[in-house]
Amino acid sequence: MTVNSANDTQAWMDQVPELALIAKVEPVFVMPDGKHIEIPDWNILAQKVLQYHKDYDGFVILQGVDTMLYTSAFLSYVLKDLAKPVVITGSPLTPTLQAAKEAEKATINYRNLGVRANLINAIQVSTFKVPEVTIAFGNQVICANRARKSPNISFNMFDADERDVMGRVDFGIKLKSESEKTVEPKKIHLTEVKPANLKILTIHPTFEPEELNEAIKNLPDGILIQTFMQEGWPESLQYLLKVANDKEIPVVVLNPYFALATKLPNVQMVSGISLEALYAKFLWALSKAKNPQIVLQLISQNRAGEFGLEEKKDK
Amino acid sequence: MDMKKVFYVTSDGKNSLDIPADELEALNESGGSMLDKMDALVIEGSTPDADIGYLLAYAMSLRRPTLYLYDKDISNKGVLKFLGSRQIPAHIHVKSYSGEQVKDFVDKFITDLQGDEAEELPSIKFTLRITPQMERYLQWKAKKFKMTKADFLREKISEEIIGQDEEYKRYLKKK
Repeated sequence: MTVNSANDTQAWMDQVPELALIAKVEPVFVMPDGKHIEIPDWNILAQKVLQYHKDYDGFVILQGVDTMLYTSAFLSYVLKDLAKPVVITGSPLTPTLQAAKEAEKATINYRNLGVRANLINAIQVSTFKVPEVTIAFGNQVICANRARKSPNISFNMFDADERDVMGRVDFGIKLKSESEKTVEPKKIHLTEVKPANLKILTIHPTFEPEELNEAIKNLPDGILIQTFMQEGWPESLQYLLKVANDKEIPVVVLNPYFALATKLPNVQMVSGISLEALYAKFLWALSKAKNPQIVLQLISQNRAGEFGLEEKKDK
Repeated sequence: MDMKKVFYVTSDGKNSLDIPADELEALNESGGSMLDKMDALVIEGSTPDADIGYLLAYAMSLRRPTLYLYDKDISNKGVLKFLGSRQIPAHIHVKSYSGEQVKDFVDKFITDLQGDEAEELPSIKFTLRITPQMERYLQWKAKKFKMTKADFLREKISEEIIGQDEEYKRYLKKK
């Protein structure tokens, strides 16, 4: 059954009466099934959680898997001080995936499960003392802004380093001892994220500097460059970074294994963060500040554990 | 007939596990839960515990036969009180016990499971005339799911026709 309006939520809940064995669950309609999530929808999700935060012990958000990492990272930034569990999950079996020939073999064993197992796990996690945003999917509970897409076709569609896996499902949900804690909530001032013209570029062996030049000419709100370089910037790119810097376009360079520092104030190197978490943070920072250097400062500071255990930046 | 796997969890945290390590590893990588591997569950739910509601919910979603036991002196159906009695499916067997009755209830549950399996072996021959259109559909579906047409139909009857027929479940309960 699909949920297309608030009127459908109760009928949908009636199909999973077993949820009442875990918690008293109140469904809240945010958007119809299949709608492609957009940036204004992130704001609505955050507002809904905030609207109900005093009356509920935890929150479970169901959303599509394609954009789950972006949504979960964004929520981890804006709901940092909520001090209540916000658990994100979704169905591993979209109609498109079920129809895909190559996925048929991998999904055949799960065709009766759909969202149900993930939903039960997520609701159980939302009853624990986990005061942060997490993803409960397959048999793992993962820190929301440290998750990444798994390269394998399995019910575990998301993956993370072991230190960022907060718990696992076996005969119940077993959280690591450090995952459960009590935190005093703080007053939340929601930052409304506005859609921004954020250009994402990936440097690869056939990358043409002209692509960066074109991006700069369009005067975007920011440029995010993903690289894998350890031998320094090619001259042509060095020049273009200086052009972007002079035009006061904030540029963030994500270089996962080695940070290439520049002395340009509007160009920031970061590492140890996923592209999805960085993208969401860039949008969040652009909504918080106009000055490019403040935007970059906000991005490079560890806000909700998105850089892992240690803050990783090089400037 | 294969021996049924029955997982039991008690309110003092004891449980059973006899799944080979390689099977566990494969299961972990696939993203499934060990509960998916269980044929049935026995839950002693006299003491309130967050895991009991979770296990029951999981068992309900998988439609696994489950024996839910509670001490009749100290509990009133435990977490099941959150479900209306009409919502408790036929495969969840609820028993209040005192003293030594636990063993008898568990023994009977496991014996019935083995019996159910023998009874459920597809041994009855049934001839059904179908249209060419149905035949084409079954051919296509069987190929898609890599199973025989008969297995596909048996699964549909068991899981979707019988499994979702609430009226029939109520009839079985009364029987």
